[in-house]
Amino acid sequence: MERKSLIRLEDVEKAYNGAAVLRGVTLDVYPGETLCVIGGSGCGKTVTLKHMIGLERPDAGRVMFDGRDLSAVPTKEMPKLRARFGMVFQGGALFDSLDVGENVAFPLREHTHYSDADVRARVAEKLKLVGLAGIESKMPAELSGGMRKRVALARAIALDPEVVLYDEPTTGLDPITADVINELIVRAERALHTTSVVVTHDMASVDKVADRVVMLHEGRVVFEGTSDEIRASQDPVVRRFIEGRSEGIL
Amino acid sequence: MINVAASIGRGTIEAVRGLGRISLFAGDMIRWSFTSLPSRRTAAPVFFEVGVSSLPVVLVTGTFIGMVLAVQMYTQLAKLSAQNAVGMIINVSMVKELGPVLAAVILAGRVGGAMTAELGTMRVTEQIDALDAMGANPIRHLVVPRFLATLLLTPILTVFSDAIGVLGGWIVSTQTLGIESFYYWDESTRMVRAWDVWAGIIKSVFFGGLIGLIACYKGFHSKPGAEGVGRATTAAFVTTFVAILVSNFFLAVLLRHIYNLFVSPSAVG
Repeated sequence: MERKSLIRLEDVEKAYNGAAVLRGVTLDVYPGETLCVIGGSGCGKTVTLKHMIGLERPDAGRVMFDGRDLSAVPTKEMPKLRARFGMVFQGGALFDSLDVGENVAFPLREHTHYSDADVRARVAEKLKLVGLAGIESKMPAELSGGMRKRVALARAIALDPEVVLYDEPTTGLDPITADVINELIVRAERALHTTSVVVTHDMASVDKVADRVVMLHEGRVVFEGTSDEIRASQDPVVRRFIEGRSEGIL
Repeated sequence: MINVAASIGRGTIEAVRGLGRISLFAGDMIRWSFTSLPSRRTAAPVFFEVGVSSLPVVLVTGTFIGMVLAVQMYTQLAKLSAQNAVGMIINVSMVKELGPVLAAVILAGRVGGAMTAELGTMRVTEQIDALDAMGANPIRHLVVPRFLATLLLTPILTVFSDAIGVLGGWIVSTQTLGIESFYYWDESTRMVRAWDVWAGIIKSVFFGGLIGLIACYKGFHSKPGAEGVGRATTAAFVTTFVAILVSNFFLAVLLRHIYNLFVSPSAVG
């Protein structure tokens, strides 16, 4: 029986100032899986991710979530739909003016009517899940890069969303901190039974978290399969990426 | 020749697009301002920054403007032996023009610049995208409190600017220029109408709205990087400054007509 996708991009095209970034991307994300979207810098990974949550609208093609075309969802319904997602941005995107506790509490205050005590309890629970219990009163500027990403993850899962989107979660981190983040992605997925989409160019991340991998190159999908299959691929573009060779680029 | 025409065409199209974008932005901002007031938690720091933190600089500049007006006016009026009218001229100038414009320009530089830089940085660091991704409308959360703060507090700061300017003029007039305090106040109360004060306050409401709108719009549409935020901040101040001066002229004309039609004793009958 054919699996029904939770998120589907169909022939999505997107250009900025006349420069094409996505040139007909089609991909599916299935419920409960962790899909890694890999590719070199500027290949359209982040733009793809932003299409999934409706932060970007396609110039052509369509983005389906749970059977609905995101372009057809009325503006009034978007907040409710987005509450079903959590997103971890590349730099964390924590609100500078709020402390850690209020950052994690933000989606709860926006979408629920929990009492202050319930919000505090939930914030503490999520921070504990990412291994940062008791740092509610710290400001984002006081945190290291790894801590910022972990707080961003705690914020993304505050509402127990169905889908968590990760934009380069390990970029700029040392290998051990990157492994901590990978471990947390797996842990969050197991604890909350979420569907995850991880945009990355870090093959260690792919090996650790991916159920399936999609590779983008110059705005097109050039590979779709498991992490073992991508390792075994003989496609020259795929091989060059996973082996980190610059030949033919300079 | 064709190139010149093409570049004029491109410039015009871009200008119309820009006007369309800021109009849509303003529409969204005004709609949210009426339908969803910001929480105290969100609004309090913004109102404090715009109002309380701006007060000292508004008071200092207002004082010195009033003082310098006294010195300059006295010199001119003394030639006509009309130096006792100095109080009236300072008062009218302060409440109708200098108080509102000065307070607005100071706020545009101090508060408007900071707002643009803050929102521009939030755009560049994806904090605005993060709000959107969490289903929280960024206009409601970020723009509405700032717009309401400038809209409501600019008139209040203008009143302070007016009052301190008049007081500064009085100090210089009576303590160094030898004008009798009686004449300073008597001439002023005879010549300054309540309408003059209200006209200044009405203008300051418009100026406050412009400061909030332009600062937030420029911040929201900041280009990436430190250079983008810097350019947005500069553009916000220059645009607001020009908008204040241009709108000041048109508002002065409009308010004069309103006065003649509805307020002046002859209009009322």
